[in-house]
Amino acid sequence: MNKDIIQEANRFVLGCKNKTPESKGYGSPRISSEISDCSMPMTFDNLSFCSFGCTYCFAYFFKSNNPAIKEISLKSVDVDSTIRTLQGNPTHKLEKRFYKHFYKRKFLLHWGGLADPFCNIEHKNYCAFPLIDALGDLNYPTLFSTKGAHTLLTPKYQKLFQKHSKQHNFAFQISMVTGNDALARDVEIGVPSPTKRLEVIKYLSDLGYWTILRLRPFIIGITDRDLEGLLERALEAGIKGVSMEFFALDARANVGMKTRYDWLAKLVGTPDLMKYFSILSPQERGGYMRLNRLVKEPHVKTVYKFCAENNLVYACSDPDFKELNTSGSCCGMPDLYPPNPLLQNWTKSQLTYHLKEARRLYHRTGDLALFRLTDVYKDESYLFDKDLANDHVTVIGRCCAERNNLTQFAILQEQWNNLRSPANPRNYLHMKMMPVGVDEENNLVYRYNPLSYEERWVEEGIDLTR
Amino acid sequence: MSTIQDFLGKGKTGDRSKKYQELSKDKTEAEKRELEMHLLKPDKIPPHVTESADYNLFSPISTLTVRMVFPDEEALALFKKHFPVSKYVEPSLARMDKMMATVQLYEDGKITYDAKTNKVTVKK
Repeated sequence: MNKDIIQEANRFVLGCKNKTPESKGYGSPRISSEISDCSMPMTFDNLSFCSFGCTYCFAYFFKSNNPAIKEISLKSVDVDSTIRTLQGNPTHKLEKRFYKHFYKRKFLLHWGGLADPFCNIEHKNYCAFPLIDALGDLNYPTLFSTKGAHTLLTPKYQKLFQKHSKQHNFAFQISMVTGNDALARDVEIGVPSPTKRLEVIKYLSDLGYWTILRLRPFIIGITDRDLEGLLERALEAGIKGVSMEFFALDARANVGMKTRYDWLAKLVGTPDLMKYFSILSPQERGGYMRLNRLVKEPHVKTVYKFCAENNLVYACSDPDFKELNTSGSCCGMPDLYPPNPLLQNWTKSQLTYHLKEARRLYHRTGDLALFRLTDVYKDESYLFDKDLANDHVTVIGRCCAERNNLTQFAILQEQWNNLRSPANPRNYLHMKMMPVGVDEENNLVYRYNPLSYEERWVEEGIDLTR
Repeated sequence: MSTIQDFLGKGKTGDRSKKYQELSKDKTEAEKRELEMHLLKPDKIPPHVTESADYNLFSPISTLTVRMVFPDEEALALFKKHFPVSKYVEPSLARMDKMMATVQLYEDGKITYDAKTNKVTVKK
């Protein structure tokens, strides 16, 4: 490996080196900007940075392009205050908002969106340990997204997860981009090997926890090398679902990102990654370039068929093939979970659930579902709270009066009705939903648009009624 | 069943996918990437020609908002001297009280404006 990529991949790691997260100024949870199709819009990270050097890290792209982040300052959430809030004693304004809309009704907490909860910082400091133990004591439903197998397998954490295993309130997504240890070392610098991660899947599955293989990001040219082998090993380890989303490229590449893109280009087999993504990504989706459906199809088919054959939850967070989800949660959480129904406590007020239902309806009855804004986004109080929209990326550039009156629902409505927006359902899902008219409130109405791959797959005998 | 994708690809969307799968067999990663760029370019979304929604999001904020354009910088400076303008994100009036009090005087007939002479008269 060349020194440049090691140096670059460790940029945040080196910035955090020998630091303990003493500052408690990190604000989390927040509402995810992916709220339009996300089943768990309350997303949580306990630390402001992560020690893992994944060259594809979207949080790195996001943070390194953020002019507000001037230095790498490792911050932690206030663990004691978070525990108090979870217990029903919020003090600050935002804590009260989150308690009211989420904690009070034990809404599923998704931990690990922008930093790994079990990275080397946790391995050394155990700063999140009291909070995780408290979540167990409260029987609070929590989904961890992690690669930190080495931390999860420490005696201290083994004991904690053994202690809470009978109530099944925890679930785990273990992320992998390849099953090959040598290849993973080139892509994910300083991260426990895939073999180690499969070991932790087995350990947690054997304890009775819901475990998901998280093929995210699925990098064409890397993840598809021996994909079947990885799926088989994960199945043997005890996974209950597979969740996938393809690597996307931010067109706003800074110097560090360019170094990473050049490195990834070599690994995937193209001289210019930016050119590859420019040619193959629909322009209607804007500057965050996502490859088109045709490029992804063979890989999605492999994973979907594997899940169908082995009765696993198939989950797709990618805008393409999102309709193939077999539960309403594109993270791979089950629709029903009798061992602890609190793990079902995610929202259906989002597009993934409604697209899945529309695909089922079409393949079971031939009917084409209609999507109305107020049917898709309803019943969730957080959508209408004026204090909960300020984390959304679209607030940038808005005047103060707008910000103060903005709600998540207003942002969703704007995107829903603006056919020029990359976040508009027609553009984002690239013709999976097409506008067919307007409703009585003057919002666009969309219709499910069956695509040619569905016909081909059905002819091949693939069951699309799941 | 025909689809919009098929319409755009003249029924060849499936053909392209099958052709790629045949041609990519036993190819190196670099050759596969080249093939993808040649065969699997995305379709364009057709223009939307039916009804469109007239979205009016930040109601009542958007319906209560007006933009003011001054003839020159001097006029703007004069305005700013008497009415506080905030420059947060984009310039806007920080407080409306003084302007609304003035407008109310017009409404009540206590101030009149003669367009011919460009003069304002205050009734006592």
